[in-house]
Amino acid sequence: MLKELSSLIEMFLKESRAWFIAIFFYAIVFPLAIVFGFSFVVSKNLAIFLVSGTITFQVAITSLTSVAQSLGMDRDRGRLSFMISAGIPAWGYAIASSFVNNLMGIVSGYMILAVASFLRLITINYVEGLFLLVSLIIGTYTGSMFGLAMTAKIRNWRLLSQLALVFGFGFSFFAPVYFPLSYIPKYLIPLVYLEPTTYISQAIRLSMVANPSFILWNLYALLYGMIFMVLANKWGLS
Amino acid sequence: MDYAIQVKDLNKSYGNNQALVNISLSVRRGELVSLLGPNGAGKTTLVKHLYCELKPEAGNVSVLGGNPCRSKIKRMLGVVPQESEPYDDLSVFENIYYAARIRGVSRREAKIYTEETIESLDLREYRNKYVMDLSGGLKRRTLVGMAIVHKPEVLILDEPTTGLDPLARRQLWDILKSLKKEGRAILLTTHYVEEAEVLSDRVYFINKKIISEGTPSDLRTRFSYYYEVIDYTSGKAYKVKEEELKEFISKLNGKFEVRIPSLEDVYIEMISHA
Repeated sequence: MLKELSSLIEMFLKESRAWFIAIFFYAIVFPLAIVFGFSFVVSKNLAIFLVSGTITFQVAITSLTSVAQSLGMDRDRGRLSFMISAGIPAWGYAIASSFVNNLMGIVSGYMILAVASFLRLITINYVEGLFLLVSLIIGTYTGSMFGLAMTAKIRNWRLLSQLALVFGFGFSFFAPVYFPLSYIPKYLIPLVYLEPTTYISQAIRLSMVANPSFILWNLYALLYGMIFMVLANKWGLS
Repeated sequence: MDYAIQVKDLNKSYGNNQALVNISLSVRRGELVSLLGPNGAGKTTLVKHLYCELKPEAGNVSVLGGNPCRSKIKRMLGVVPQESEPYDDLSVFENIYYAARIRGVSRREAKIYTEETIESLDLREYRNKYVMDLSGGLKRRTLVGMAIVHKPEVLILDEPTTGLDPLARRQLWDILKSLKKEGRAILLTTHYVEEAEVLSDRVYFINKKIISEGTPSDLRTRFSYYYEVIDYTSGKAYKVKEEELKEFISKLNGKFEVRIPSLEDVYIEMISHA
């Protein structure tokens, strides 16, 4: 299966040539501009939320939104059926088709980190950088599985495409991504814990400061991703 | 009997809507079988079970004697799904090449097979063109290439000619005929009666359940309850029962033609009464 999936990834890498400008702008230039622009107005003690929030935002867009939109379109055009008939599982197709975006998302995470360090918003060493990689991979997996579950449940491609955008952006700005979890009023806490980006953003931020609890948040995120994978399977995409 | 595809008592429903009712059918090796039915008859739902995109609620599906969900079986299958399109941002060569690679064919063999497929489908001129720049007929030919590049034993084509102009449709028919000559088992779904009549060894009429099955000529004779008589003097066409035919003809003055109904007439008659 690994051989087949790597061929599929190779195919999508070739396909991405046609979208390079958009991918480069949204995965690299846009998040860097956010960090750079807001660095002038954010206070030093909250700067880490600007950086980890923007990385989480990137993960949400490049995994959740991207998987749902591209998978939905490929199902609409019969390509998903073709791949399933060739023995490629839907989850494998989801990961392979969003690989370029996810890769750019992860690269983007480190570029944001580099710019933030250059602007003296945060300081980070190699160990924290490695912890961040774990959080980015798990966050990308969880976002991708959320996109897969959405695709399995929503058959109407136009609706799916819109909701993928709404959730991608919504989960980034209505969850405690750009601000601390403690700022959330108590009555909203249950809702916040329903949002997958809550777990992803906590894991990303805590890994950047080498706080061991990032492992726990990552485990929650991983569990969430597995639940989405099971749901997608139940709803017909396995 | 050496069956490439065998379906027994297959049932499928979507909520309260029963999509397939006790479907049983078979396709032998080297045989081209058509599923003929109106839109919403369950043709696509049925074929999705054959490559395991759907799983049976009840009944049994067997492809090449095994479970179609097994990857070993899937590698011997070639499928053109309904309304499918190749990848627009890849060339014809790349689309066909990667269709071989994702089925585990080695790089070297995939290149050889792809060149052979391009040659056999007369796509050489378009080898390096991006699919987005091709006509509908050429896109469909590329899709067939993606389905056959790994030399499958069984081909499943879900309405492969829908939306094509007559010339492109005929070209695709020629390709299917040559694939059949190579000994592959082919299952074709279509709502074009002429297509089924020209290409098929056997035809299944389907509308959520199997209504009838047989060779095209067998179906025409078995279900011809009347003759069509065309009176060239008046320019009128009549439907006349067999026992009344002699008497009817004797009353005609001038030239006339008698023929049994076309497969299309039989199909419409049967589907509307099903």
